[in-house]
Amino acid sequence: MSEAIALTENIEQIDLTEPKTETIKLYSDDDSDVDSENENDDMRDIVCPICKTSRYLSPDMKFLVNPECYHKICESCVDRIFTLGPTKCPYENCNKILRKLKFKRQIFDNIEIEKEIDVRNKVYKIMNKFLEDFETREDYDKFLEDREDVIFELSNLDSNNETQLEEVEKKLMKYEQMNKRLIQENNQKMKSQEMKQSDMESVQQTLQKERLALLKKMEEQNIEDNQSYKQKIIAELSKGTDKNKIIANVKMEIKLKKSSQRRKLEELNKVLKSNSYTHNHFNKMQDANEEFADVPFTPFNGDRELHKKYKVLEDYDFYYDPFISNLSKVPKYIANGFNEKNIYDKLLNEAFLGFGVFVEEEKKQAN
Amino acid sequence: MSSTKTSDKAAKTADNILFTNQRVTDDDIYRNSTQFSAWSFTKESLNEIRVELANKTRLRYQQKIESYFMEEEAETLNDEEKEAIKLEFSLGISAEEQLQIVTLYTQKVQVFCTKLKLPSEVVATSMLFFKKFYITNSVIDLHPKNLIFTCIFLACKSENHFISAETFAAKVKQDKQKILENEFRLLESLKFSLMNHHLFKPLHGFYLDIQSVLQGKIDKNYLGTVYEKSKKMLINSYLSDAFYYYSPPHITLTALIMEDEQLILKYLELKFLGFDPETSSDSLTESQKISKNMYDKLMKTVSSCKTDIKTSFLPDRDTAWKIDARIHYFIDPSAFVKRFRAQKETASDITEEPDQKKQKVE
Repeated sequence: MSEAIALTENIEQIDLTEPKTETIKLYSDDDSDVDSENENDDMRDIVCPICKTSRYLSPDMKFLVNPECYHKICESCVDRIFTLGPTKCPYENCNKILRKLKFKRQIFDNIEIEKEIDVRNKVYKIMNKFLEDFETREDYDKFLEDREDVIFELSNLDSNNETQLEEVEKKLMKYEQMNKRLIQENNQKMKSQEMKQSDMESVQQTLQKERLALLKKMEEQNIEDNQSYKQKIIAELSKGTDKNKIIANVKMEIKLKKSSQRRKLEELNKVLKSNSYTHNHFNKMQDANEEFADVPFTPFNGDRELHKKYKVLEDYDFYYDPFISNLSKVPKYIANGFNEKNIYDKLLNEAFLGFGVFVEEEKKQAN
Repeated sequence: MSSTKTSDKAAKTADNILFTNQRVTDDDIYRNSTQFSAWSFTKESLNEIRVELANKTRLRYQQKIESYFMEEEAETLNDEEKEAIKLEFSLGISAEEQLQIVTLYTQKVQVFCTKLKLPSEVVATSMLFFKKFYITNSVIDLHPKNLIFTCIFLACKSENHFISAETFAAKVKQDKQKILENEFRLLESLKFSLMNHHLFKPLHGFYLDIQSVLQGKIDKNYLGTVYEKSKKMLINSYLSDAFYYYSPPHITLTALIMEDEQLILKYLELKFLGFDPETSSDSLTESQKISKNMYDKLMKTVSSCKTDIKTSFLPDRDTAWKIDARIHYFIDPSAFVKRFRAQKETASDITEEPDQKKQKVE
């Protein structure tokens, strides 16, 4: 009797655990990893599955993963096991050969994301064409789609489908061989772009630093000067010359000094502003948009008639319209984006909206 | 000849617009508005709709009233009275009479709106709502006086001049429930299309455009007075049927021309022709001929619009009382019997005096 109960319990346990492992299989193919993931709730309970050291005892413990199999191993274990050269992964049933050099810190909690990003970086390095390498936009879009497909397949096919995986990898290899030169060129291009960006940032930073330093210097000097002037005045006064004259002289001196400093600051500000690196990109975008500002937005990208029956005068001050020009003086409307020109445009547009529609004639035809 | 040509052209453009990358003109945008698709008519079609409505209501009410008198009150009526009833109710309210009485009440809508100091766009919208409602509804079914405030209230909402129902009811001293009661019916009759391209913005636009076309040739203060006068005329034009027959720029131009023909003609000439419209067509180039044709068409439309704006459907006082009284009898037939009997008693002096008093008390 009791045996039977125990048996059923066993069956139940199996039933319960089996689907569980299956759902989790997406994330890893080993049970021990699942355990550690479940324990993630409390960071202190994390235990290295190899040496069983828990974080509670050694709070400095760090986990590393190898992109071959993404199994978590603590740092000391990596040192211990792999210093002598490439060896098998210490996890059970994992026969991958790992090298110490390839071990790295895990950035994302979710191992799957970590995996995908690695794959992504790898694929990006190979399939790295730019928009200008294609003749049409559609070709480029197709290329992007292909690239995403490869990434998806590489990161989501698990080891069970090795043949498929191999196929994809073969495809990638083939692509690499075919486009070897282009890939190199593009990689260099990318690098130079990055360099430029970092250059730009450093220039901006140095300029900014200079400015701050100058400001600080000015302030310090101010305080210093004030004290020295006071002393100067007292000293001069003790000599007994005309006091008004002394004060005027000292004031002149201060003014000259200050203005020279101010000029320096202004120059620096100018450089900061005019520097193409530091130029505000938002403004540039606005300038670009100005060209298309006349075209009203439509879902099909400006399919409205461009030749209007009217023309809003550039110099809209010419219009004599006390009502609207008065409105444009009210601060609360200006704050809301009130723009005389827009209003004039709208009014003129309404004036010719349906100008060519002869209602009776067209309705007659419709009947 | 020319009309068939243009019709072909119009049909072509309508077909092609979906399939080519032809640009959408402002005219096409107007054609897509409900104002054009649902609320523009030819004179004939609008008249047809109105006559049909009048006939239908007449038949409906005749049956109702006949059965009412013949069955329920047959014993109390003598032959003479029956004869009078037949005479009175057989006519119904004709389409023309309905139009007259509706126009009268539309004017009342306008008066109320001005008293409430509403912006002119709200005034115009409420007038239009009111008129449109009675294209598909008979005055007998819903007496115009019961719709005035509903129209104004809805127009306030649709023109973004929001007043809460409570405030509005308190302002016009009406029952809030009564105002809201007919709101949905009104909306339904409006086919839920509340957008109106009014005439005031085009007027303002032309005011600006005239300034730019006739640069330096016009006194701006004088143009201001023309603008003000035309605006008044445009508000009144909402009483006519012009809004159904013409597009807003045409009505606006007509009003401007009625105000100062010389000035506006000069403006149109400079804007669209650039040459004297009197020159014979032989000496014109092709493109000039095309613009001349357009110009002539515009002038034709404007002149017919002028007559439409001028035609007033406002009834004189007596007819208005008569029609109003008849609507009243349709709503409450027994009142007619009472009045008929009273009239007979004072047969020597048949006037409608008592009747008028009764109306006034209401």
